[in-house]
Amino acid sequence: MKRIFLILLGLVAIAVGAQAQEADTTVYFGAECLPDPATYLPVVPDSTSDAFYYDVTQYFWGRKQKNAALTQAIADAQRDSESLCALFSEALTIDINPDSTPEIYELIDKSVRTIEPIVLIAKHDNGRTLPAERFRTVPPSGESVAALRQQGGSYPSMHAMAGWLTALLLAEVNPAQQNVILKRGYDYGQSRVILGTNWQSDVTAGRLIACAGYARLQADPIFLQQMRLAVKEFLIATGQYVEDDDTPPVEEDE
Amino acid sequence: MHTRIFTLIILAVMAVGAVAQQRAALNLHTEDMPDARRYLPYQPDSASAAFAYDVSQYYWGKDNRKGTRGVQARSDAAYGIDVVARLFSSAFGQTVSPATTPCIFAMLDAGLTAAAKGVTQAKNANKRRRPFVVFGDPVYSTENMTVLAADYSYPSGHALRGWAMALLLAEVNPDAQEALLKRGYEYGQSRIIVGAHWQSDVDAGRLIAAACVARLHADPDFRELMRQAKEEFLATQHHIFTEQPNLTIDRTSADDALYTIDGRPATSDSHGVLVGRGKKVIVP
Repeated sequence: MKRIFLILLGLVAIAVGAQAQEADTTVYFGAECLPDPATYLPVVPDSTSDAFYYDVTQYFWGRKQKNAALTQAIADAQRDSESLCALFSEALTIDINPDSTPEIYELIDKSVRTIEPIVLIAKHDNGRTLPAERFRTVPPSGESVAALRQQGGSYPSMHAMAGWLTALLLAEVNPAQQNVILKRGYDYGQSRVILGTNWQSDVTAGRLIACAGYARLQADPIFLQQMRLAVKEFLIATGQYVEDDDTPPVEEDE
Repeated sequence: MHTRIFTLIILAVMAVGAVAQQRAALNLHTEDMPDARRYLPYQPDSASAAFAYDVSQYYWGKDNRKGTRGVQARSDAAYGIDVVARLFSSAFGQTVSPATTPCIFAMLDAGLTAAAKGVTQAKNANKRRRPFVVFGDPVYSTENMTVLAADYSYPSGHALRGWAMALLLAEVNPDAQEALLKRGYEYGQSRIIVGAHWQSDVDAGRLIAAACVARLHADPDFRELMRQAKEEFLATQHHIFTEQPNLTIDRTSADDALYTIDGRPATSDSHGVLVGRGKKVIVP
């Protein structure tokens, strides 16, 4: 009896494993569809270069930040999709979460997850020392430097990518608030410099990957579909949605 | 004799006017586009490390004026979307022009004209002087230096145009995205090589490009131009065929589209094309 049970369990495991081989629905497409960042990113600044000198002075700028800027930076350390969406809710003007805005949430969650792997590959390729490692400081966010190092290196910044990508997506959903949204996305990346977890050039590079990722997402019909659903959800939530009938639009003269 | 010449001139002007009317334009004005004063930093202070980096990049630019990179930098100084589209054609894999790719070109023309407005307010607020002016050097391109010197430096309109063109063409042809992004990136760096812009102007220009591309996608007229551009491109790819077997589109409004093929939800392949039951279809 036990043997049959174990065999059945094994078969179920194989079946589940086979299912997992099919399309991963948490992303729009695999990392192989994304452009290699090395083709368009600048190289990590050499430690004797003026670019690195700029990185160092930005690190010290970051260390000087106090009060509201520091509090925001610590809050911006959270990168899980629910926290990320919450951090952008005020800018968008409605609360973004899986329950009340499932389409907008999925748009952001799935888009960020789709671009993440290419950032991790670039991190491992570059293996850059974090500022917190080099200067032997503890990030005020309480993040473990060793855990961050495990991701492969500080260049490029995952947070910067996620923040700028989210900003581009939400700016498309609600162009009326685009400036506030874009600033939120920009500052979300700068928070990494304040915390000492990333160099300024890591953050700049992360934003460029977000730009390239955004373009690749726009080439995906399923993403386009999700964007339309998110826009519709936003319009309904803000009372702007107008149900139109199926008659074709009237051609207006110029 | 004179009346005949006069008639010909009138006809020529009318013809040009007619052609000009055909260029698609979006209803996006400067105040509709993202305002870089609101989401990007001010130009680097002249006593800052950021400016020191800008200065060293000016000298890097001067070093790169020789050889093929210098030649490319000079030709990248071009204005005019048709000229720039030609510069990106090699990366795209096809000649991009009003004659060869009318829909792709119409999308670029309309999109980049609107996107260019994304630098106006920041340029006027920063009033930054260009590097060749600050250093008292000639600019390393055939641009009119007096005109160029009168135009503010931060942020860079060229960098915006090059990065935005890369993003828009990469959306049409994802297979060429690496070549396009590299070309777009270098197009911005060319401005530093000729001495027309600081590195920070170019960095800002690229971020504004992405912000403007997002704003374009929020515009239904632009989305239609982009859809036509993608359709035009896909028709040239012989591994795609244009039959649309049992493609149903559940539209609950003019903007919504839920694609199903033969009753099952459609997925997309690595080229960004809808696939259903092994058949590739063009998004109608």
